[in-house]
Amino acid sequence: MSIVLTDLVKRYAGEAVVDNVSLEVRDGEFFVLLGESGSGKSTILRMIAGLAVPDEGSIVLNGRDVTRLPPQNRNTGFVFQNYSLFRHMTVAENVEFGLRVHKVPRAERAAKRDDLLALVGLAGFGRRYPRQLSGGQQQRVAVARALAFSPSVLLLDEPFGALDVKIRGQLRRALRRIQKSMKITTILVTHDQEEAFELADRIGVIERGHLLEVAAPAELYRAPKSELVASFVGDANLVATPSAGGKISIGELEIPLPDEAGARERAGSWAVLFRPEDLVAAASREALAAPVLGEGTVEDIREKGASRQLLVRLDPLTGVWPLKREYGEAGLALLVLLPSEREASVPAIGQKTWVGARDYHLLPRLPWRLLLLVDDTARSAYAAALCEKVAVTAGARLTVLGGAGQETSPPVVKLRESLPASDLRISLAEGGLTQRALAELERVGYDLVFLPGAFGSEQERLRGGRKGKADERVESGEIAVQCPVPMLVAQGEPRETRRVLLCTAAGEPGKLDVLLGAQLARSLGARVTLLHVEHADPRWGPPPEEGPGETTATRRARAWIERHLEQGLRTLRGQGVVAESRIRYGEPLSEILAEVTEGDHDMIVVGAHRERTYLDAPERDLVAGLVHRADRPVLIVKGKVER
Amino acid sequence: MSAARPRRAEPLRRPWGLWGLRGAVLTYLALMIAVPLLAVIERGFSAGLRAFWRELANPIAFDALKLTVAAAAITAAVNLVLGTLTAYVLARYRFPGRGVFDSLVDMPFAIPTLVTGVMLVVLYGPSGALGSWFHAKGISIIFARPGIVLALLFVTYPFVIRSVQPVLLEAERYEEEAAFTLGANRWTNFRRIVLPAILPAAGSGALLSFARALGEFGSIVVVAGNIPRRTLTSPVYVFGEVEAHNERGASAMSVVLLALSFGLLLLLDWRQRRRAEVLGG
Amino acid sequence: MAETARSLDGEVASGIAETGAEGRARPRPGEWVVVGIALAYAILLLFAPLAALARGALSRGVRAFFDALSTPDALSAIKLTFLLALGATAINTVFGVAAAWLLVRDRRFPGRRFVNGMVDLPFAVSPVIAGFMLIVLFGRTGWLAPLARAAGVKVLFAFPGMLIATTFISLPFVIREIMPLLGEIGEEEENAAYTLGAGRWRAFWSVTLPGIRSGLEYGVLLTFARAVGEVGAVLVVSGSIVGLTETATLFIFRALDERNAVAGYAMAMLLALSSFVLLTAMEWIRRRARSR
Repeated sequence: MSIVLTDLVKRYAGEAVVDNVSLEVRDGEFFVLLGESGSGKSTILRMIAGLAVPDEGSIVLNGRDVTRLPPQNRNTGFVFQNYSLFRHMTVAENVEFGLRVHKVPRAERAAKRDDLLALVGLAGFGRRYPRQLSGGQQQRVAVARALAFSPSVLLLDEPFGALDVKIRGQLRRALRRIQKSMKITTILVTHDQEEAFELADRIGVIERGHLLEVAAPAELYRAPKSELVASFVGDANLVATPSAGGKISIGELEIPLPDEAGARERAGSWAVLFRPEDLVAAASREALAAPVLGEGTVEDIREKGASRQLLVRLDPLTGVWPLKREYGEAGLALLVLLPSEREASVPAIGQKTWVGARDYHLLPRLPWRLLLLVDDTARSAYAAALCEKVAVTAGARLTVLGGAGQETSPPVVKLRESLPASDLRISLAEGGLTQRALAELERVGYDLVFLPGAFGSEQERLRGGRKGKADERVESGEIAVQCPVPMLVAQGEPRETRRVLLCTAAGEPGKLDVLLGAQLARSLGARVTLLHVEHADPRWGPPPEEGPGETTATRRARAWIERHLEQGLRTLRGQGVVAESRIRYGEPLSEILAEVTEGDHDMIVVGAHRERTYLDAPERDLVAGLVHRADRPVLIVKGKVER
Repeated sequence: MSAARPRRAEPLRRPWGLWGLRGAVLTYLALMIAVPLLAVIERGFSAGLRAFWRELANPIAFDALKLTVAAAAITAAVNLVLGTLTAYVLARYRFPGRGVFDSLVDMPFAIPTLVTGVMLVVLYGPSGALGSWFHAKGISIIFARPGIVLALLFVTYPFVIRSVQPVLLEAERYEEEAAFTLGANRWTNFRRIVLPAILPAAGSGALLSFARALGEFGSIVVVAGNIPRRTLTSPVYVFGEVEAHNERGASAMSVVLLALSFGLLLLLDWRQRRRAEVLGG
Repeated sequence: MAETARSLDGEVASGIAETGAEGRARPRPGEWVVVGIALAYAILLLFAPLAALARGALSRGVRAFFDALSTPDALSAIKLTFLLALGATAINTVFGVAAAWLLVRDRRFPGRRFVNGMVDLPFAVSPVIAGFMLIVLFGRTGWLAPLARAAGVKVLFAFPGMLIATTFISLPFVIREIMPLLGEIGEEEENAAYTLGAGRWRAFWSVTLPGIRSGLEYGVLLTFARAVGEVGAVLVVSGSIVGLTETATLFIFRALDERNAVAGYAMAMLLALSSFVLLTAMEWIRRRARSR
């Protein structure tokens, strides 16, 4: 092993830009770190060269621990993105610099320099200054300079980033040839997939400081281990669907689950990846020589020379939803790659077509991560019950935080029974529950938090009579202020969740609330009512009616509302949820409360559009008002929904 | 927090060398700048606030201060107008000798201020080529207040020009051209487009020349005649008090001048920072 | 200089007729007024006095000019001025480069922002006050007087005091000229040198220093020019002992006092000429740096 990185961590201003990265690069291997800018890939490279010092972890080069060595003593060859040639030295002086520093005799230096310049195809350029060279030539000099003193590893930091496409291709081939001829262990950092695939023996995909996956290019493309990698590398059609009876069905395609997956056979725990070339399209079912996924409409065609890429939107398939969701779109948009043939039998844009799948790749999905906070109030049991249902149906991982006395409480006991031990972590301790919850939220990225509600009349009651330690109670208001993720505040009389009211009253239609509301409703098996409350002052007279009396302004407003509700409904249905919409006119809070009673809804979903949510100010904030006055569970959606 | 303390972020293997360098630089700056300044301030207040005020309330000192500030203000104002104009002419027009003119703008920085004073005396003095003409008209320039302003204008000549010039050269050629295509004539164009763009830089230059004028000594000591209550400026006053071994008087005036300069420096720094924020935003 | 100016104009002329590459237009008739004001102002303020001085210095002939400058007093004043300027420039160059490097590169330099602000102070302080500071510091009851006494060094009214004063008033030039360049060339070239095995010192000499050369040269010349021309600070600390602590500027000061106009004008002319040499050198450096 030429390069061994173990648990590398690098923080800037407390933020880990490289988080626990371990990696082994073999002798003579061409390794590419692939990631978007800011993913931490350059930092890793700089740490290997000694230009940055890791906060934790170790770096071993050729069996020597260099973690604490300065860059001078590591003997790495480093090629910088902006070339960083010494601009006041000639090309020859640049290449010879490392040799000169190491006191190599003049004759030897000259010979080595000439060899290297010839190797990079710049023989005879020795007397020029960097500014007299083109960008591509400068980068060749940089490579020659880095290789001069026979480094043990070659490190390249986006070396072709600043060059135009044609030069880039030439340089890539040259680099590959040099690397193979010198058999030098190489790490190249890039955000360019094409570059990575062309050069690498193996690729490491890095995102937000985490090394997601390391594999050979073909494997990374054909059989990625995670959705992130699947969608980062190449074009990907990713769909999710529940499994039943040890298999997954998408249209007529049946995918058997691997044997060892028995325990994971739950909804949403599998994703299926179709690369565009895995799919085929044809005018009729019969013409497809592959299992049929469904029928759809061609929305776009892109000619790619040797092939032709179709964007086909399949009619909605029950129980199948795309992982890359687009708001307001129904059905499944699939990219299909077809070979270009002279006698093209490809449908035109707008025509119907059938799509089948010749191949697929099955991916386990990361389970949802839920956090449940329990104390000794009655609402905790409700929160636990809701949480349990979501956890079981969605196959989520659950963490329970509670007071020390909760060990034998009914909610905890019940959770232990219904969830597999591998998916359940229970942490019960003395005191400081709120602080512990906030620390936990800071540390782990949860998808959803379940809290017992204690607001309005409930709060009064608690304050009045109950004893028990205050710091073992969940202070939901406190937590809500800082909680960065969606939270479900369980309150009111426990009830079966059959109907969910999704409010888009506060301004713009909240795309995140709709998506998360859909997911929650799906896992609870509930139907959704999408509600828009048009803020109307009662003094303005009766709400605008459809018909001849309607003014242009109100008609426009109505059209806008209807359009956005229609989009919301499409999104919901695309996620496999039964949904309908309602429009009400009036003051939002009272109209929502009225709708809850009239429609007999069991849960309310509402978006919090502020960074901090102050549930203790019911008179100022719609969300707080809802929590205080509706005796139903409220799901408050804030932040980004990642899944 | 953890056992393994985060290590140094820079690749330094000989921290001793770095600390040595830091120590040397800090010592140098402390000894050269901080300690002497503190010493003067300490001396100024050593006999208490009341003594400090008494020294300043002395009519000679007070008039010197008034004269200095007034002369500096006039200088700054003239520079603001004529400096901006000169910068504009240099940046926008083509005329014979422009290149030489441009390189000679910095001359006042290079010429010793005392030499400046001598030059002005030679030209504008009672027996000088221009001075005798003025003298015949009953206007005295040298050994009078106009001479002070003249000297200050000379030594602060480049400030506004050199602040404005780069802005003019780099900036809104396109905006200007756009204005021309919209039918604006040159004057409208200058007033509406160019002036707002260069005004902040011109202001900074004017402030700089004000600060410089407050402390000017070499040229004024030759030109002004240094008549107490008439043409004696603060720096010359300080010099006189030092010569007269009145350290307290010298300190009090020094503290006032220092406070003014520091205030200006802070103001300039703040303006620059704010502008950087606006432009960088 | 005229030549370079002409070539610059030629360059513009060969560009687009009305507004050249540098964007300069030939003034239209009305606009000549503006150009005229600028020129007249510069001539009256800057060039006329200069010409008058030249005339004054040479009024008794070239011979008298050189005679006035070759008296022992004049020669010793010139020598002392040169030594002071050289000393101050050397100190400010070495420490200035170190300070600039730390201020730009060393992110953990204690009190970086404060120090950065402090560097400008010598520009804001009147030179008389600068000299006076040393009087206070090294005078009878000064803070550093015991130190100087222990070391057996006479600071005030002697060379060391004058050197400190000159160093103080010319301190910021090198630092201020280098800092932007250091920031501009960035750290990556230094890093490249490190990865190639160069130590910090080596990287500095062979990579950093050549990169900031033009700024350094410019700063050094500015420092030198300022040091040569200093009067206020030196006047206060030197005691003006003829032939001993009298610099060229103090020589002029005394000559004017003694109504020895020819000697004063001659020395002033010499200083003016030397500053023209420096100015030309500075201009040359600027043009060279721009052409890079």
